[in-house]
Amino acid sequence: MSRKRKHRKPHRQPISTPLQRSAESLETTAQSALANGHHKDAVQAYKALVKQERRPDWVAGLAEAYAGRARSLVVKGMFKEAAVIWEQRATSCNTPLVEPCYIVWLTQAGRSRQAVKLYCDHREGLERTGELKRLREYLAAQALSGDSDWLDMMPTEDPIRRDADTARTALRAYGAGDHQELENLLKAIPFRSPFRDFRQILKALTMLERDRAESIRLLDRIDCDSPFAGLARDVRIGTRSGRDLVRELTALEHEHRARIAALHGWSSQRVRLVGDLPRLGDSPPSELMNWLLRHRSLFGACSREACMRVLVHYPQGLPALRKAFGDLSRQEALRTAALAEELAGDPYAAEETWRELADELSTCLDEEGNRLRAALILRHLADMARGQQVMGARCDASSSLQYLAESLLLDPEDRPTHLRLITGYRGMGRLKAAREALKEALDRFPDDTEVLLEAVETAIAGDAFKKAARYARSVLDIDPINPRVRDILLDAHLAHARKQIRMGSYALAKKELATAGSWAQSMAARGRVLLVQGMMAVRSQNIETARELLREAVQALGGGLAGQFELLLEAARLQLRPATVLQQAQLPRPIDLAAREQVIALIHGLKAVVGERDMQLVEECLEPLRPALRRGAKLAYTEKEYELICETLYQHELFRLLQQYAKEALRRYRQRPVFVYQQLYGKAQGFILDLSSRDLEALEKALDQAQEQGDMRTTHRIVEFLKPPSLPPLPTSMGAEFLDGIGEVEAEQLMDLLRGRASPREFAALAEIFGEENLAKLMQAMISGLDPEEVLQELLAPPLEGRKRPRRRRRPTHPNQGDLFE
Amino acid sequence: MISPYQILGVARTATDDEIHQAYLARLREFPPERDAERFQAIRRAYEQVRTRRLRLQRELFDTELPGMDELLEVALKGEVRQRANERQIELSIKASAAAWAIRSGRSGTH
Repeated sequence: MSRKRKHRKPHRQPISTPLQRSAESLETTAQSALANGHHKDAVQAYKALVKQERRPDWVAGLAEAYAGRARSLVVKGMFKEAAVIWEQRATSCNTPLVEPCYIVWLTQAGRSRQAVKLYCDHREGLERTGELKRLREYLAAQALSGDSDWLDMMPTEDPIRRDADTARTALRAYGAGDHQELENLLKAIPFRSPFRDFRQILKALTMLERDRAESIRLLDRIDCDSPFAGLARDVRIGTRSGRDLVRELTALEHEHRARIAALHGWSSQRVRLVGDLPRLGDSPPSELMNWLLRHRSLFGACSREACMRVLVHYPQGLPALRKAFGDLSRQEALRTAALAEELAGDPYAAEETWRELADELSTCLDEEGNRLRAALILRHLADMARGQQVMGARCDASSSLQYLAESLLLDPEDRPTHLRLITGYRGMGRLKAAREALKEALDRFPDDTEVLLEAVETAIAGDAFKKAARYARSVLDIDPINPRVRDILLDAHLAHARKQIRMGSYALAKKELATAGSWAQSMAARGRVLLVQGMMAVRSQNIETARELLREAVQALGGGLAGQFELLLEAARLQLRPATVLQQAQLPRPIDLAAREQVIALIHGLKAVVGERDMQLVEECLEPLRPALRRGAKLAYTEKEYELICETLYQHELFRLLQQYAKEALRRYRQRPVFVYQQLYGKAQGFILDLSSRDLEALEKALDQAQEQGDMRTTHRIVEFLKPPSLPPLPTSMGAEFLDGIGEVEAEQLMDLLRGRASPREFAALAEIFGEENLAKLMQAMISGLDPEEVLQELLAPPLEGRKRPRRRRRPTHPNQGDLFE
Repeated sequence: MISPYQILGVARTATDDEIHQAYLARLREFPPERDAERFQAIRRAYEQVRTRRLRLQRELFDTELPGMDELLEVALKGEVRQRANERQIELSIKASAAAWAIRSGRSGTH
């Protein structure tokens, strides 16, 4: 049977065995104990040594050990014991008994009269220690804290006795709210008085209501070593607000908190509120709601509003809120529900609820503000739709514009919405709608430069250059130095010149280019004009002039790859063969220009034409530069540069180059989810089925990482990429009639067929319904990886055109939330 | 305070002009050199509610949780404070002196 061994706490060896231990060993022990702050052991060891021989260094060691021991007792609040140790020190080591600390400890030990007597008898000696000033301040604080029956023991000329009465009367005057008396009394306390800090704190307290900043300034001037520093801190805490106040108060003991509350005149109810704070901390909305409801009487009229704001984050709090404040109005309930749904990440449910609220408001438009409220909700819905579009969700881009248009019917004076609508329609290529929206805006804001600029851009988008120039001149009449309109005018004249060149009207084009030149202020703008002039020379077979002009233009456009790209683009716009024009210009070979800066400049040029309507044209222009870009992939770039390059290539769907650059980026910046995605996207040429299982695994891993890093864009892109592709278009021969008459049984049979489970007899039966050829075509359409159920769902669904997203029935996320949605 | 209206000291039904006047009055009361923090709060409050459109926008779409600063300010300073009496200050001074005496043990000297 094993005996359990008791684990004992190791403890230090007893010291006081003078007969057993040599002086040398004792001295070592004493010194080590002293150095390590083991003052009790050090006292014992030195006492033993001094008993053997009163050597001065041993006596000094003993004195130090006693002092250390006394102080360690003080830290624990054992002033009485500390004073006794100090007295032993004076007796055993012949050290002075009366030192400031001893007097302080005596007062704290309840021996104030003895302390004050020592102070009076040894004032001169204490002065030599240099600590008399602080000691006096301490005694002054004592005199004000109710312990002052010793004051008459002091000589009348002592500053503590001299000013104590004034300070006490000032304190009384503060309590009584006698400002005038208080001010006079505070003035009577001299600058060098030990009550000086008290005077300042009292002044700060009186100023707290009137001039908070000055009050804080006075408090912050109190030295942190002053005996009044604690009082100053307590007053200062009361000047803090919000989180700072919570942080400071929660760090204190309950008693201290209560003292501060009393000092600031907080009622017991408020003291309880403050007492609740530590439980609150950074707690969830549920805790906040409970705290608000528990102390709602203190928040007065704000309590309902505050609770309503928490309700959006904590819909489960509705029953408690209703109990406290009564039912919510229908509009309040809808608004809260919509916001709660938004916060819960359910935009579809939120959209429906907002729509419901907008409809509700529209039924009572005469009510103050409802018209504008409904319009604002519709604009919010437009923002939500736009947000989803930006995130890449497959939603109808026009719904955002529909909401905007609808909102203008309710609130037609909102200029920014007019502008958004025009830009939106133009961006979608719906020029007719853009012109109609523009007409509405111009009717309301005929002299608004921003509306006029939209008019210019809309006219240019419809190739109505003269109209554009007319609108632009209207802008310049209002704002003669508008830089945007100058650029737009330049573009308009260049576009018009191109039109003339294409038609062979070179004289008119020359005139147009001369006008364009008058708007070109920067070097790059002049380069663009030269470029069109050069192209005109090419078209009119004026080769020498063309060469001169084109070289000059490329130079003005920054030279290098970026300049050559501009040249190629311009050639394509004028229906010239880009590669031929590049040869005619006799510029350096692109591949010889493949330097880092050149590639970055080209990428910037490429980025500028991301929205170009004719992507084919851009790709064609890039062809002669591809070798340079390929060579450029081998160069080193910063992470930000790689991001720029890959994103631009991604936007242009330049898959091979994207794969190459993203691969290089990954080599340098390992496992960045964005580069993993872009490399695989490039490799698969945007078609997920072309990826191996290993690639898919890497993509899943990148998705996790992107989510962890909060990279929402990459997360969303990967999620979209990983979704199975939609059904390839069915053969045209399989029209709507193919689906006519399909019933549940046939659908089931068709499913079985698609799953490969149909028997030859079933196939024959289906073939009779759908036709054998159609079935064969359908099966051909079932490219590997497509889910048969999805195919069937797609087949059975109404045609895409005009199909609405199924309206989801909103369900409360919590039983208590139900009322919000009723 | 909990809402911009309270910071500006106006009713929720106040007009643009009333809000503007209240804002100017508050700025005069709390110029930045006297209380920079409050001055900023007043500016922010005004920016949030200066037009009817902004006010309704805030009313409809604001999802910010009520700030602890605002709530405590309302709860602790919502009413005229009672002045601390002589005894309460005496107690605080006593605690302050005792804390200083204990610190003398830590620092070793005064």
